[in-house]
Amino acid sequence: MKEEISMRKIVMIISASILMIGEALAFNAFGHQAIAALADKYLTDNAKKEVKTILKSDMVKVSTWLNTLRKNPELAYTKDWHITTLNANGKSTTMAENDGVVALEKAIAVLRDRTNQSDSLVQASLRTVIHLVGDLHCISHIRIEGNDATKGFNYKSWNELTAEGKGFYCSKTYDASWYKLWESRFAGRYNFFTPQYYGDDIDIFANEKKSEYEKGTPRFWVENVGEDVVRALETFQPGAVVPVQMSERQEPVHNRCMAKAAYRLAALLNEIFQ
Amino acid sequence: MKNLRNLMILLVALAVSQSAMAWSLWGHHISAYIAEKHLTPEAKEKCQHYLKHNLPHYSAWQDYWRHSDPFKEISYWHSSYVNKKFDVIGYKENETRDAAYQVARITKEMSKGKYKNMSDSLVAVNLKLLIHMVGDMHCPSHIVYTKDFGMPGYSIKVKGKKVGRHSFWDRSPQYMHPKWKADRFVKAYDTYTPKEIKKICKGDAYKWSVQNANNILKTGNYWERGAEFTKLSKEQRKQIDETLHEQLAFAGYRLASTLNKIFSK
Repeated sequence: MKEEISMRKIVMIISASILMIGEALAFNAFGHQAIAALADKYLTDNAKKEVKTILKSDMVKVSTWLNTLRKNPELAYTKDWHITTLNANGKSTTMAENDGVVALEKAIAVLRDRTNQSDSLVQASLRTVIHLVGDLHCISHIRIEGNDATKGFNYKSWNELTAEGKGFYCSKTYDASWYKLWESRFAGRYNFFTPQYYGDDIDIFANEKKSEYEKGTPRFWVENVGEDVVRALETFQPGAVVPVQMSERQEPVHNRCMAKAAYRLAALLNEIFQ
Repeated sequence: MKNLRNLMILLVALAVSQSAMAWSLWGHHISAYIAEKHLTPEAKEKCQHYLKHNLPHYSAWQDYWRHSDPFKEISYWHSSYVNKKFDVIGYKENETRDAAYQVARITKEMSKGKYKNMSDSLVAVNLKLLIHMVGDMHCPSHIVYTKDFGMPGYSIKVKGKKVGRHSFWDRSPQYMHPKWKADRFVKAYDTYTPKEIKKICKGDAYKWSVQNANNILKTGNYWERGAEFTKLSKEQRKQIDETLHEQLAFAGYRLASTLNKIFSK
């Protein structure tokens, strides 16, 4: 029965999406596109062919599709798919129906069983996988039980404090958002380029850690991102005054999460479509 | 020891900031993107090795870090200061506080294989500085003429909002071509022949700075003070675009030639 409900929901998504394609892309669209572009680079020929056949488009173009669904009241529940919640120990044990990692697992299951599924359901599932692997590598999309800060907050940003406690250059603090720090602060700087160019720019682990990053399951991946969340929250807390340079120091963390998302997405699709 | 001294220049110097902004992110991206297309394979490989990223990735690095205690001195390295005799004199006649001086210094200290005696992190910091400074010193608002030059302030309005000369030129790529992306800019601006590029890159950072000062002088006559940007004539917009074309392309070519020289075998 539960499976039937999920299937019905996905079919509704497909119907709604036909009406909604062409709407404005959601926040952080460029980050998703860059992840998809980099993942595409590492697809095997076979996976590339299958993906193209299923999507009737390319991964970059459909990478933000899932963001368009939540505006439909009937599909508003999908907004929860973009986020996952870890338990207080940082483990992914959730079975909540609309949790991101659960939604991702369901979509992966459809792809694995694609020969028994309708084309439209397989297509919607692939689009969902492409988006959610990205989203679940965004630090502000990971929540930890008992840690309210992971739900998002504002902090105060200030250019580096001097010994006298006065700001250098910037005379006032300004409100900055934990959510935007990870969603758009860094990726937003590169939307002047193509997603492929940005994807190549963050592809700096190909020779060393790529094969290590590719391992594991979606639950392991989100636990892995959760470790970055905990580390980042040692600096960023609600209301804390954070020198702007501390934000700059997060760019490598942000880029590493994006690269991991791309490598893992490619590895997953290569395995499914081998 | 020399490495240590160089690092000390970057890390220890303290100063009070001047609030000079730079090319906007777009301007830096464009010049670094053009440079990337003119690197030799050796220079490209070395830049990738030390930076791990493409050149545009670090093109605004100096702006992001200028307000951090260890890097405050680099706030003075975004502009080139020129007097009436077209001498490069530095901020308040401190010759070291000048983008041209710093570009020349870093180029000299790294060329002829000397970069191999530096730590990887120092090479990376030097490259990030070069990428930014060569771009900045070609921005029309980053040639600072001494007062005896009589260079007018010539503010402009953009959609009714007053914008100073400095801010206008910093953001001029966006004002002129708000819908263009990097590839479109490169297609429009990276148009010089190899022979022309060789001529453009001749000389050192001081010579480039003086050439920029001469080239940019004409911008003082592009519009009446307080004119509305959206109402400028086609001819006036063409003048602005030609200056952008020259300055961004020259910056890209000269950055590439600097990096090619440093990493030449």
